[in-house]
Amino acid sequence: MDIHRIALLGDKDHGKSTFIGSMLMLTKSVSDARIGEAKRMSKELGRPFEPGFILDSFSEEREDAMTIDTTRAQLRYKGFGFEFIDVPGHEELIANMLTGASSAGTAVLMVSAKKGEGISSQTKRHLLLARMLGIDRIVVAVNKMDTVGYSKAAFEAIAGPIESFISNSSKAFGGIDAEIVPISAYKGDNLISRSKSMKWYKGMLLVEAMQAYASKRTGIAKTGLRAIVQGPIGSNQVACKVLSGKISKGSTVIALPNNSRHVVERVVKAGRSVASAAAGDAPMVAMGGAQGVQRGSVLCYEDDKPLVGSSVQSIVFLVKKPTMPVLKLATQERRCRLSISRSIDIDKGTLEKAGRFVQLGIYKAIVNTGKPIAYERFSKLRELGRFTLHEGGKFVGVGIMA
Amino acid sequence: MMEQNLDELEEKSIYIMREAQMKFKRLGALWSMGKDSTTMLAIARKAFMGKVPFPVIHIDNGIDFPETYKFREELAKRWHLDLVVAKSEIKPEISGFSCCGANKTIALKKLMKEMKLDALIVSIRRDEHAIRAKERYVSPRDKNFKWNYKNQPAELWDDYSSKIDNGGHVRVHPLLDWNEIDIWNYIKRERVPMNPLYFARNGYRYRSLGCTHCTVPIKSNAKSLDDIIKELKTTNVEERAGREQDKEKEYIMQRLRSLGYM
Repeated sequence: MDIHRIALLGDKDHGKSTFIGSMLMLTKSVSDARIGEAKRMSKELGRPFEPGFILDSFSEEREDAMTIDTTRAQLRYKGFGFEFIDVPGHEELIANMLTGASSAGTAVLMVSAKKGEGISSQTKRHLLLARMLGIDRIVVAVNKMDTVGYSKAAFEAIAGPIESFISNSSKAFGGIDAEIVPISAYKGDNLISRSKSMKWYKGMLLVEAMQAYASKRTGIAKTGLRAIVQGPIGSNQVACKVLSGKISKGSTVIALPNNSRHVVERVVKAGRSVASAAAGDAPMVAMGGAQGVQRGSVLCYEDDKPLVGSSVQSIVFLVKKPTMPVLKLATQERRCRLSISRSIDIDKGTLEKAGRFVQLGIYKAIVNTGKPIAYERFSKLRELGRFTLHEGGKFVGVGIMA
Repeated sequence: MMEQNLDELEEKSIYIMREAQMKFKRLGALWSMGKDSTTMLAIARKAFMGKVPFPVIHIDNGIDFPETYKFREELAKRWHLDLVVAKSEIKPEISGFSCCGANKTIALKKLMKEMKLDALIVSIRRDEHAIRAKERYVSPRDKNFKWNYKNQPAELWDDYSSKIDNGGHVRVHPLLDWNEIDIWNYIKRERVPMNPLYFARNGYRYRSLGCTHCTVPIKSNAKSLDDIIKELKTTNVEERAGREQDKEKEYIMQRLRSLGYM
């Protein structure tokens, strides 16, 4: 079964874990033992039953009712397979949020309609980061509708501004699919069945929006063979991962950025010799002159090469300001410098002239790597158009080639 | 329980194991002779041209099942494994949590130091337990084997953290994405040799295998691989229901893992 990954985004306390817990129970995707355990824990902590406890399993998470680290849960519904990735909403846990969101194609963005909660800058930051990471289908769940008397006006007070924020940010990141659904994750309204308390809402149920987005294929590579080299394995062989296209026995490949040519003698996939290996495979490739092919090389064919350069326009999200970070793009690693030209206004979602540096900001910047790097624009091939930044062995940011 | 694409899972596991072998100075793997770590070895053989290139460690408290010891000897010979057995002491007054936690961890710590291992493959899966769903593919442990679960490194795409604190090591989890049913589908497809205790005898079988002191069999008539796969498709019981250690206390897995237990 194909499993569609969905990241749960949004500010802390807007109900992400509760939502997943409810969905798991409603679709009977969780064992009675786990539900029982969550019930017992809720009771022990002296609070009403909290479905979020099915996921938040660290003691601190339950006692403080907050998600600390990302977690995953699978559910099956009417022939569809989904994997929810729950991420923490707290600002200081943004690296955990990125870890979770980076493997999803769709997101559910939780926005609480409860008085005093609503759209926050963290809501907007999550939305922008999701878009930057290539999530192009977003279900905005306007949650806690039960606390505002299921009022249509309360829903519209969130839906309107969110819609204009999404359309503003489309100038920087391109258009996306978005559906806005009023729900109560706790009471189960509009999740998998129509709410009797919100007859005014005629749009898709939350699960229907998930199904619609799962059926839509996006992020399809527009490039020929791109295979990254992990390193040598055995004699005259390299271990690779194919990102797009196919690597075939008998063909001549070019290894970038060195530009050396090699004839492929053998392709071995999971221990068996095969005619070719395709995207997602991690084959062993025997080829002439393989000794000269290092970790970090990118294999392609003569007539269709990736871009190679040492000064690349990018969009970066920085947890803190690095001086000379290490850029990791697939298996390539380069020391680099960033020259920031513009920044994204977190509140408006628009690209502005860069002002003072702020932590957790999103910037347009030129990456200077010194030594050339092989890459693609993110819109053409995601796997070769995105990178992480590290300094002193610590994660400091993430970026895409614009 | 959701069945996933075996080829995709296999390729990803191969990539992770190769990354570990290439990035870390000295890699080892835990082998309990259970279904998961045996499957991991079957994949490692494919990843490294037919031969598991790292030492395979059994932390032996001396009270595993006779079938398990026999299976260990047979497979180690057949697959030419570099088997390392580390005896862990077992004290009659210590059981459950303390047994697996304290006793086995002491033995593992000592062995890793002797062998100078800086990376250890552990065949855990996300669907085993809610706590395990929070693990990374590569997860650092400090010199006391502690898992700092509140401050795990970011792990985006295929960029696995390779920073090891002084005296610490990393746990590598190539099977994290696999579900229990995927393991059995793979065992069937690849004809991976298996410990006979998993198959029903007299109406009982072991679904999760620990030592003789803290594992109990479940009621089952699943005598073949097909029976087991069929059973898993319909069950609503947790895989580790037969493990005393998990039941003893709330948060026990978290404590075990943060203390360095596998």
